[in-house]
This record gives sequence, structure tokens and C-alpha cells, in this order.
Amino acid sequence: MRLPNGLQQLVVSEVTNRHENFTQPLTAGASFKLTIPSGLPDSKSEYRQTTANFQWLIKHAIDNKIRLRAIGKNWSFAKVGVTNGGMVDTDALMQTFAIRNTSVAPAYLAAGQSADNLFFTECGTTVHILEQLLEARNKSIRASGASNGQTIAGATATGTHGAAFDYGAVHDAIVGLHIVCGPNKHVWLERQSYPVAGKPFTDLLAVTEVIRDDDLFNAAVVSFGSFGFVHGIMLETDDLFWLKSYSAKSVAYTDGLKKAMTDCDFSGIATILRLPAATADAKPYHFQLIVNPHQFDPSGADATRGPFVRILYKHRTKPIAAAPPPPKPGFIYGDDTMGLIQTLLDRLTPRKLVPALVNALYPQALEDTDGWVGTMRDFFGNTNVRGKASSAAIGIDSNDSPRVLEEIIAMNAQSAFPGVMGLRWVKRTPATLGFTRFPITCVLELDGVESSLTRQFLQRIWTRLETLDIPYTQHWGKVNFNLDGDRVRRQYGNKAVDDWIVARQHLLDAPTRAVFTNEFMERCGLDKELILDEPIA
Amino acid sequence: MKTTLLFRSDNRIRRLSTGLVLLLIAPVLPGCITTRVATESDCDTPANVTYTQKTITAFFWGLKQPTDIKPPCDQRSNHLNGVTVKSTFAHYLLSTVTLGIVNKRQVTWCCAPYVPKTDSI
Repeated sequence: MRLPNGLQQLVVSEVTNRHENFTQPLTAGASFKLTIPSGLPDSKSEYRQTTANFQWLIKHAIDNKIRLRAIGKNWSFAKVGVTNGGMVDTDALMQTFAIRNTSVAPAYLAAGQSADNLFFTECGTTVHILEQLLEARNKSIRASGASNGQTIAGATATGTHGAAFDYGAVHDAIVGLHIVCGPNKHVWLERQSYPVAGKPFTDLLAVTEVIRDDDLFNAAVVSFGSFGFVHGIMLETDDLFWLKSYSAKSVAYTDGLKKAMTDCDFSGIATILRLPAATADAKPYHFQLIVNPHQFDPSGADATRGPFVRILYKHRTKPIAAAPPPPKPGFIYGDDTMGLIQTLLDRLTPRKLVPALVNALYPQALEDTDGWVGTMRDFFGNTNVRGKASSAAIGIDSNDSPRVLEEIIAMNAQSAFPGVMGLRWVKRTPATLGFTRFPITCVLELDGVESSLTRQFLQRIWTRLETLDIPYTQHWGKVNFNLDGDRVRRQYGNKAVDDWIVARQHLLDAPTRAVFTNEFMERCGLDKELILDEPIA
Repeated sequence: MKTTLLFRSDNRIRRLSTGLVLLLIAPVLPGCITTRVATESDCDTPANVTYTQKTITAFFWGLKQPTDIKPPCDQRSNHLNGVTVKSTFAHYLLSTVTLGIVNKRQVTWCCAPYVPKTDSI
């Protein structure tokens, strides 16, 4: 088979995800790797050739009746971004473009915005590299996940949330998408209410269509690779800012802390964390708790049995302080340690050992970050999690967060969870299926060892929330094995789900939809066809 | 006499227990030692893909060595960001059974991504 410039066929029959909690079989001969084409006169020609390569892949998949999915760094704990057809490795696609004023929509400039804050990147650029490139330009991304090793397209596709309680998730900084959504169709998609791209920009991409539509954009921005190949992403960035950490290893679970949890009002814990008053130059940006459920006093009487609390202030100018300390020296747990613990938990069932095990490992999960100053890249850097891990995350209304935390603590007393919890607060996203959908969403993560004990615990929590009628959503890219069509509709509502399906039908014709449908979508009823009120344009 | 018998019996039980423990632990130790050299965390491939790894074999106590691996990194940067060498329990077992005649290791590499200079539009 003769392949175009920038495309290689891969010899691969399965793929195991980064955290090793599933292996996805692949169709032999159906996987490809994209690289930046070589030998072309300029970067724009290289970019356009890559677009043509994406189109070639879609045509090849339609002709051969195979499913395809782009893959980034393979971080998802769920099979949301893989298929039993082929995977398309996009990790080498790292072209980036600064935007000139002449390339943006006049309305964007008229609204007082500057093209200087826009940055256009190919899908495979990792958040880490993006941060390096932006910092060199005195700019910063607005939010990131807890780590920065994902590709920008992968991080946004599953709704990676970050922890910016008055800003939002990673994908909330996206203002335009270049999507290849057919063998002869690739579109520029942005909001009608927030136009960004000017004609010179879309002409350079040589798109077949420019679509300005809020509903389509909000559906496509979190669509786990099922709306076609997202080739390019336009990000709105911030002037470079610094974060300063105020943290304490154990804060009593008092009314003051609960007020912080429900309202992001930190007045009740300001003294213990030594928080300064917010100013125009510095104000709270990030709020996080880490809870060891085996060392937690829900009455608040024992201050030594409270959560780790961290608040990061966002500074417009660099505060005078030391750089972050270097990583801890010494041993790190091995790649197979988690697998060993899993086996012990599953086969030997030493349930009574779980609290002792977690209590022994918990101090290693905590870093004494109090007083640290750094950029986004410093605080949300490389992860050191190795081997089989489990991580599930639910989105709940911040007002429900104390109640849900207390419920989980009570459930843990009945049957111990082999892990710890992290809680972060994120502003609501406009993305149709973004799981940070509450006004301020508390993202409650349960991180632990991949084992049947963990899965049973997660199942009990999800069931309990449903019994108590507490609304919750689930992170698309984390452990979410209970998700099905009914649950997705309960979590997002029929209208949002239908809108998302209709948007996909608008953008992709039936043969292309078949290419980008995967088994996860079928399980969640997101592959369904809806009869449209009006014909597809 | 009885004491000696008991002592022998205890020894046997201890050996049997040790053997059983080893037998139980053996299948759960697929990678006893992982050595990782990394300059940067970024790669130009997804994590855990098989097309960036190779199992190499040395024979006769190292007298016959495998040829050098030349990872197909993008020629425009042509750098590695990481190499991981993994020795599994099966590798040790094979070396032991063959008295060192056959030695296997799994090598995984990570190519540095080619990051072109930011252009402008």
C-alpha cells in the first residue's frame, strides 16, 4: 500500500492504556502513525498535507469498513478513546502557530481582545511542550490537569477539568477547532457568539467550510474523538502568571472548611492557611483537598485527622519567593508494585490490611507545597504514577460536596477503600457533555489500586448517590464502568444528549460516523441516530 | 531423637512453606527490575505501545551480543528522550535454566518529539 507523505502503517495488534487497567485489541493492519510531512516548502504546506492525510485515513477506513480513533498519550482509564479497529497515533503532530491581528475576526479585535493571546496548535502537542512554548512567549495556558503529559487534544476530548474554580476546565480555553470530518470535508468550527478566526486564517487552512455555531461547537469540544479527527485547536491563553501555594497537611473538618467546599469562600480557613487578602494582582485560583478516608474525623474535633488543604493564588506579577524544591530523592515504588498489591487484594483478600497499607503510603502522596511559587508547568508537572492504578472521578454540585464526602467516609468504615480521595473545584463548562456541569463542580476523585475491591467500592458509591438522589456526573476518561445509556441521560439530561447526537449528525455523514463510532459509545447510547427536525445542511 | 525428628519435620515444613510462597509470588512478579533513563517526559508516541519496544537476546554469557537497536526517530530531531530496560522473572528463569547461555531483556525507547519552531499565521 502506497502511503502519502507523513503517514506510516503500524504493526500493532493491541494497545494497553498508560495506567494498564485495560488492553484494547486492534484490527491487524488498521493502525497508522502521522508525522509532520517532510520536504515541503513551509510549515503551512506541512499542516495542509497532514489534513490531507487525515482525509486519506477516513477514506481508507470507509473503503475498508474499519473503525478508527486518534490516540494521544493513552492516559484514559476508560475505553472512551479506543476502538477495535485501528488507532491513529497523532503524538508527533506538534506544529504550532502564533496568530497575527490580520488573521483574526474583526469582531474579536473590536471586543478589545488581542490576537497575541491566541495560539493555534496541532492535536499532538503535549500540554508540557505547549507550556514551554507559551512561557517563552510570556504566556500561559489557563488550566491544566494535575499532570501535563497528555496531548492537548486528548486532554480536552474527555473533559480534563483542572482545578480553576472561577475559570473552568482545560477545554474551556478552546475558541476554535479545525476538524477533519469526512474524506472531502474539513471544517473550521467556532462559536457564533465568540468569533475568532478571520478569512486569512481559514483560507490558509484551506477548510471546506467555516461553521460558526454555539451548539455545534459546545458539542464538539468534548466529544472524545468521535466527531472526526481534531487536527488543530485554537487556544486563548493568558499573560504568564505565577501560582503561590498555601497549604496545610491536616485541617480540621469544621464549618469553615465546609463553607470553603460549598462556596469557595475561604474566610473560615484563612487563618490556618495564612491566606492573604485577595488583590487585583493576586487572588485564589485553585482549591484542593486530599483526604485519607482511613484517617478522617468527620466531627472536626481532631485536627490531626483532617484533609490536606491547598489553595493556589494566581499572581499577575511574580511574587518574591523561592522556586519549587526539587523532587524527593530515593526510591519510588516500582512499575509492578501496584500490580502486586492488586493481586494480593484480589487473591488473598487481606481486607483488614487495607487501612494500614493506605496509611503507610499516604504520606508519600503528599508534598509539603506551602510557600511554593511556580508556573502552571511547575505545579502540574509530570506524573510519577507507575503501573496499574485506578482513578475514578465524579462531578457533583459544590453544595453537595460535604455530604458526599461524609457518605463516602461512612461507607469506607464498612468496607475499606484501597486508596485516597482528591477533591477539586471547577467552574461550570458550556460544553454539552462536559462533566463539570454544575455552577461550581466539585470533582471528587478516588485514586487507588486497580483491584476488584476498588471496583466494588466505586460501584457502591455510585449506587449510593443514585439512592440518595444526589446528582452526579462521571469523568469520561476515568474509571466509569457503570456508564450506560440510561445513566448518561440521567447525568446530562435528554436534551443535552440529543443535542450532542444531532451535532455529530450535522458534522459527519453516516459512513464517516461509522468510522468514528466505538464500543464505548454504543454502550452509552451515543451512537444512536436521531431524526432531525430539519435536513442536514 | 524425637526432638531431632521434629526439628527435621519443622525444616521440611519451612522449606515447603517457602516453596509455596515463592510459587505464589512468582506469577505476580513479571518485572522484577525496571531501569529507566529519561531526559524528558515527552515522547512522540502513546504510552505502552508495542512498536517502540523490542526483546533482545544475548547468547553464551555475552559472547554473542544483539546488534544495536536503532529506533526510527524523526530524522529532523533524531533524539531519544528515554530508554527502559526491563528484566522479568521469566528472563531470570531462562538465564538460570540455560546456565547463562540465553539472556533476554526487554528494551523500550521513547523518541523525542520533533517540535518545529512556532510559525505565525
